[in-house]
Amino acid sequence: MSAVVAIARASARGSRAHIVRATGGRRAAALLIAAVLVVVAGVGVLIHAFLAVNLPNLFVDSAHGGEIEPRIAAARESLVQSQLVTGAVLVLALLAFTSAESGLSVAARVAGARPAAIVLGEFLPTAVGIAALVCATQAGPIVFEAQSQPTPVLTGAGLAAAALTVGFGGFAIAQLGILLARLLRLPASVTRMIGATLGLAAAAVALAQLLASAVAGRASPLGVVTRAAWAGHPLPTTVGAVAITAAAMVIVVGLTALLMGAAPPLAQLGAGPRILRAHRFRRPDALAAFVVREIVLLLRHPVSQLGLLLAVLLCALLATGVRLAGLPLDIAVLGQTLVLAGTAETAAGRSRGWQWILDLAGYPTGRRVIAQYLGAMVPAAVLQAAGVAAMVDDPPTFLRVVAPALLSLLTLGAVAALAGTVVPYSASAPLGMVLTSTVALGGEIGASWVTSSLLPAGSWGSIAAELGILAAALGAAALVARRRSPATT
Amino acid sequence: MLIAHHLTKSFGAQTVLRDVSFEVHPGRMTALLGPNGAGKSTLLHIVTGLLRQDSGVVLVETQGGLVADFRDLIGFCPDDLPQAELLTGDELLDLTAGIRHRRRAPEAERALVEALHLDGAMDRLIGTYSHGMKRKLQLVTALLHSPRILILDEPFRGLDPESSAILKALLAVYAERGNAVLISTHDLLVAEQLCTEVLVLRDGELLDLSPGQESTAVGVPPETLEARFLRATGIDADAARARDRFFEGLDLLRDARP
Repeated sequence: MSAVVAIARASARGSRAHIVRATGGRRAAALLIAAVLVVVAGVGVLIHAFLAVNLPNLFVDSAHGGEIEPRIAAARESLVQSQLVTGAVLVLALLAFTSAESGLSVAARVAGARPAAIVLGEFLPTAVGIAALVCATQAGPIVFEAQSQPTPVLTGAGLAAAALTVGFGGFAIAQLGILLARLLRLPASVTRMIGATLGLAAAAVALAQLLASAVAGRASPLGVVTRAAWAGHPLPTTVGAVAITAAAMVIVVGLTALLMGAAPPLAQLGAGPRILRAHRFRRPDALAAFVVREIVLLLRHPVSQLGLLLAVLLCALLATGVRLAGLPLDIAVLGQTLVLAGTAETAAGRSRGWQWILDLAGYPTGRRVIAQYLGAMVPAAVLQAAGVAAMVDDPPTFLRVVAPALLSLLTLGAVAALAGTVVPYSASAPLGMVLTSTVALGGEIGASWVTSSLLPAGSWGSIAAELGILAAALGAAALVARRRSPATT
Repeated sequence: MLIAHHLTKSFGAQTVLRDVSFEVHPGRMTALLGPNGAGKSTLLHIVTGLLRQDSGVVLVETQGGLVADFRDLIGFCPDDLPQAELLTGDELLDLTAGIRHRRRAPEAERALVEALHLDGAMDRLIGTYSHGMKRKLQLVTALLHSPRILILDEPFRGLDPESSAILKALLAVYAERGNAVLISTHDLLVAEQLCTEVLVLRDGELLDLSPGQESTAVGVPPETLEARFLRATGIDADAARARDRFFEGLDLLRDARP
């Protein structure tokens, strides 16, 4: 067995072991993964249905051999390209929390493996993860766009290849940022932040360029990756996209291997500098003392810091979209809510290791879950309010928008906290956070759909449903946390 | 007095503790010995309530009688459990006071912190502490609620000689004040020097460590704790078997194809 395959297998096994351990057993892990696949497929079907209802004819005319009107062609290009970039942003946001390193690097080097073999072996499972994420997020729209073309399978393959190119391109940019930061010997947490920021900045530039091209009425340079798909020649697009992706990955893997000795390894996340001081309460057992401590821990934890940074960047993108690109306010606020609710994903996982201190004294699990949840929600609510303020001008509109948005944030945050309790992330497992975030996002989208689609928005029924989901999610999180407590096993 | 009665614990098909019973007396230090994987940490986690036993009971004798809920009477320094690395030492004391529903006691805390040479480090993140500093901070937090029973899992592992000497002195004083101290350790010398009672665990069972057939002849020293431990646990025979297998493995490696 070659070193690359051995390292890739060990890395993949590490991820699998993390999932099994996090969920509590093989059967639970299989059930969870099946549920995630169902949710992902469901979201794809929902997106397909949304496009079919709202843009029924955008991709139809070329199916009949007719000329495509330039305005429709431009709209089509803009939609597809922005969809590809958005998909890449989602992939980047999920991957930003993970390291391509499996922790096997030192053992492999001691065993005499070459740097290139180590980097490639560690990268392969990540590459499979990226491809799976891209396909999962893009399947719905690609099927919709390709199904009415003369050669739907080839067109679909061309669009999928384009999606993979954009996804891997964003990943490559983020990785190059990480490499640069490692060369500068910056702390691991800062390194990841720089990578994520660069990747998202590239996505923002791509979206801005799309917008500028649309406003100026000219074709976007990004159209290179999709245009041929509509011209009846999707094969060159596919081949070209695969070649570009492969070249980008060769550069990333090659540079990482070259710098293996020069740059310090992206070590497991450790304690960084002390940020803030937990205010000392006169009554240390007051719930407020625990909530404040959780806020401080959130701001000190490298993964939470990265999550907050990503949330701020994505909220800024959405606000810019509302201000400059006519993005509907409701959609932008919903996007902001989904992103900020994710702050609660790490609430259980970040302090899971030392919960024995609380268990030892018999501290109630429900109270701990509430403190962790509120500790995540307070900063998220502040950011939500700031984000809405950046999108609207007048105070009455702000109040009309922000109140239901905050209620949704609290509800979806509870769902994210539950997901983070069921599948707590692990900083040491490669792709460990991806599963947590995917489960959380799936749960958030499901809860959001229940409260916004089944019941009239703003109705008492909708508010009651949100409060019901909030209470149920926190109750379930407390039950799961209690079951996971060693004292009850 | 802490009384453990017929404790049994399994993880799946693996039985980790089999019908373990023992007592830990006030004013004395008791050592819990055993090879790796004998079940020492599992036993301590059950005694402290961090893990639930499959059968058996742990009780503490108080002035009001035997009680099963004795979390406030026990202080615990674990060996293998993670620390709250993103809190400072002082913030951990605050957390401990909070979960124990107690007010902070600054003077007492300062005295303990100074005794353990942690002054100056309490404002730093625990993640930046050395292993020894973390163990000492654990001891401070374990003592904050004045427990009558102090349980320590491998307290001397990784400590430098100075810290080790200080800890030994502190534990001796704590026991002399009428408190019970239970120490899990691999260090037979520590057990022999510090402890008046010794429990030996092997494959989940408590062994009899009564002296063997000692020579009564003048000038022949009594059997040491180490000798009794090796004999009772069968480790001396195991070591001989391990040595033979090791040589066999080396020979096989030499003959194996690359």
